[in-house]
Amino acid sequence: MIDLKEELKKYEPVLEVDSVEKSIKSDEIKDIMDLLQYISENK
Amino acid sequence: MKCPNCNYAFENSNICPNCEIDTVLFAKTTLVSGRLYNKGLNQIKAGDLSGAIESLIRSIEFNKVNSHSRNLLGLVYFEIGMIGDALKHWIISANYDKENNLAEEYIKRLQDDTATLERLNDAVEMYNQAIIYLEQNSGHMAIIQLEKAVEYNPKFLKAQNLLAVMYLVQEENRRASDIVKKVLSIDVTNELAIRYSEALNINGDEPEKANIVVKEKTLFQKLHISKIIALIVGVLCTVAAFEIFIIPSSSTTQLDDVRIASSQIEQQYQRILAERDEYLQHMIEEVERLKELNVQLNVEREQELDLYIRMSQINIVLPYILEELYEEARYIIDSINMQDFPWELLQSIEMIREEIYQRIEYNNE
Repeated sequence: MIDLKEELKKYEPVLEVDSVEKSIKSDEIKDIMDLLQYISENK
Repeated sequence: MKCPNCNYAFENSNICPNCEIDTVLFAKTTLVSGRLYNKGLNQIKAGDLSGAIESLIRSIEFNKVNSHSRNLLGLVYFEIGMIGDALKHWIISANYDKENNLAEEYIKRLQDDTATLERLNDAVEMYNQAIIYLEQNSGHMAIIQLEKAVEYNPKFLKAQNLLAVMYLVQEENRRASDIVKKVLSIDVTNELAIRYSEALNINGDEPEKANIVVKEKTLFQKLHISKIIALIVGVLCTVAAFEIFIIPSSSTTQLDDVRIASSQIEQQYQRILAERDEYLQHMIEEVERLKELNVQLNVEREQELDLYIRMSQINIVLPYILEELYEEARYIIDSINMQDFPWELLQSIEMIREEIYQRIEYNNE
């Protein structure tokens, strides 16, 4: 049977249009190459 | 050789002296990113949108500038109602790759159709508001918001799933079942919808679902990647055109009527809530009053019991008098606490006491 409290943990707020710009700025957009570069720079 | 990242020409090394990228590794990650893009595309063809999102996100993790993956991920997000996430990926894509990028076209289409954009964003806001209501244990208000959200955007799968949960909890299984079927017709591997479908014991439509997948495979197998993207864009354009040109003004009026009715229901619900709170407060006060009364009655009852016990002590004295044990009778009668005794009883006790004292005096003589 579905447990509402447990089920609700799976639902999080969805990004609204007004917050897109902020989300892009706050996101650390990284891929594997960025990570490898970061690791090699900090060796 | 030319660096695949910055196009700088160099020799005798795998590391680009300009951007310090390992060109061999860069080529490999680009290849993996491309393969994941293809996988995501195939998953979309099979109606597996959840799987496609996973693959496309992984594709971007291998190569963040893969604009094909970003644009397709944006389209999938758009398709399932996550308009903010769609825009976010298109904006990032357009920023990385400014030449012939479909992302710019998608953004422009949305910006040109502000009514649709607002409607889709309103649906997201309502869904987010529903989550807030649920955190405040206002299930009914959450349902109202979710019903409006899916009315504004029937393809908003997160809102549909949450509404299905709410119906499930309220044991409105038929409504929950309709929603789950709708979600699975858009995203056949939607984990939550599959779970709810199991909870609802939906299995009558399994062959239908399988048919949908097979049909989509047959259709998409004939198309190339660019055609599929063009097809999705075409669908978006059709939807936009339909909204602008075909839906008559009466629909807008009907929508307004629904909005007004919905607002009235909300107000009525708030009024009922206020009345309920007032009634609850009244009941709490009544319970407190009854508790105090009960305490008071208990005290009075204990006082009466105490008086009765003290009054009954006089009966102990009589057998001693009959046995002519006057000293013992005097000791007992003197030790009785006669506070609050009735006046008649006090007189009787006083007569008995006088008799006992006289007998003692007589015996001593």
